[in-house]
Amino acid sequence: MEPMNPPDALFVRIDDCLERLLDRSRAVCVLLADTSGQLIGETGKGAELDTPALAAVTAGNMAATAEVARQMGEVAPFSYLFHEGQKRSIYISAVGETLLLVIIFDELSQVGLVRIFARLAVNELLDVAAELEPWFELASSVVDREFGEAVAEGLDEAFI
Amino acid sequence: MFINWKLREVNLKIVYYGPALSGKTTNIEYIHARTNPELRGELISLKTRGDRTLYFDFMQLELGRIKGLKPKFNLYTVPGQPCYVASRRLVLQGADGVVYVADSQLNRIKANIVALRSLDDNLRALGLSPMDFPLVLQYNKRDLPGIAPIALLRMQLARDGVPQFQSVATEGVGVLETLKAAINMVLSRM
Ligand SMILES: Nc1nc2c(ncn2[C@@H]2O[C@H](COP(=O)(O)OP(=O)(O)OP(=O)(O)O)[C@@H](O)[C@H]2O)c(=O)[nH]1
Ligand SMILES: [Mg+2]
Repeated sequence: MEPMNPPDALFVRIDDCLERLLDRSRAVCVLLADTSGQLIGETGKGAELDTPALAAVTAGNMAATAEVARQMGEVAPFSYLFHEGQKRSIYISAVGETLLLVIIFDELSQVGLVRIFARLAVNELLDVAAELEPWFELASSVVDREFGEAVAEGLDEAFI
Repeated sequence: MFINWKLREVNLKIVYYGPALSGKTTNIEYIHARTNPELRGELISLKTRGDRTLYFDFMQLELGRIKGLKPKFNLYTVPGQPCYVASRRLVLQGADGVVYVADSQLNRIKANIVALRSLDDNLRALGLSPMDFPLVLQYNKRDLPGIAPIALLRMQLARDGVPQFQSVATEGVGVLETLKAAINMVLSRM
């Protein structure tokens, strides 16, 4: 049985939004991840980067600073983080409570520009996230017994 | 679990949990070394100068498409040292399953029990029920002298229906078996 899928249009909207952000902010690469570090979307010159690892560590970074905020007596976590590097910089923004937007940029851009367009993108992504939310619950519907068995076989072949 | 329907990827998060120095990082290092390089990402270790886990270790292992879906397993370890309690809860967020790495040495029995209790507390804090959460137990360091008999470890740590493995993580004994059991457990619970 073919499981019910969320409409492709939602993912197209995410991609469009990330691409527009990449373009307008003149960034090197843009990632969308969930707060537990799983990569949801990416665009730009991410190919040379290990984007799943980047998603995992930026989510960790965001989670750690949320705890820092709590320890400081802040009522809400920090809404964004910015780290400036020698060649590249990174701007991480929360998208509601479930998603993170990550923008990596170099000297072709500047943080002011990135911040403005990131804010616009966050607003758009909040709408999409709300529509995508109910589908997360249904995720398990695609994983059945046959799938589990095939994964077990695949795993046997993954190790050398 | 996160499914990207457009790219047709299934992401699972498995967390290695346990007391300080039980061998969590050693497990993931061995898995990384044994995984076909085309199927794995970099092994990221956020650690102290003394090689102790400070925040987490991370690696991604992916398989080819199965029934049109590409499974991706995100493996994490938590820091076992008591002072990093807050970090352990952060790493557990969004976990689909846990491998609990126990240290078999007799003098670590109490540390094992304390860490297991903290796992339950952390799961509850995240709104999960420890009794139904996919869990695999690994009794590590079986090569050392002065280790507890399995029956004792089982009595102290195991619950009904939890798969258990003996291991020597430094030599890779039992490591892949444990991982496979954890992945199976997560998938069969869905
Ligand atoms: N003899 C023996 N030593 C082991 C085994 N597994 C791990 N070790 C050693 O135990 C020490 C701690 O291992 P780690 O993998 O760093 O432990 P950890 O659980 O990640 O520790 P934290 O990150 O501090 O929580 C290292 O010196 C390992 O080589 C084992 O099966 N047998
Ligand atoms: Mg470690």
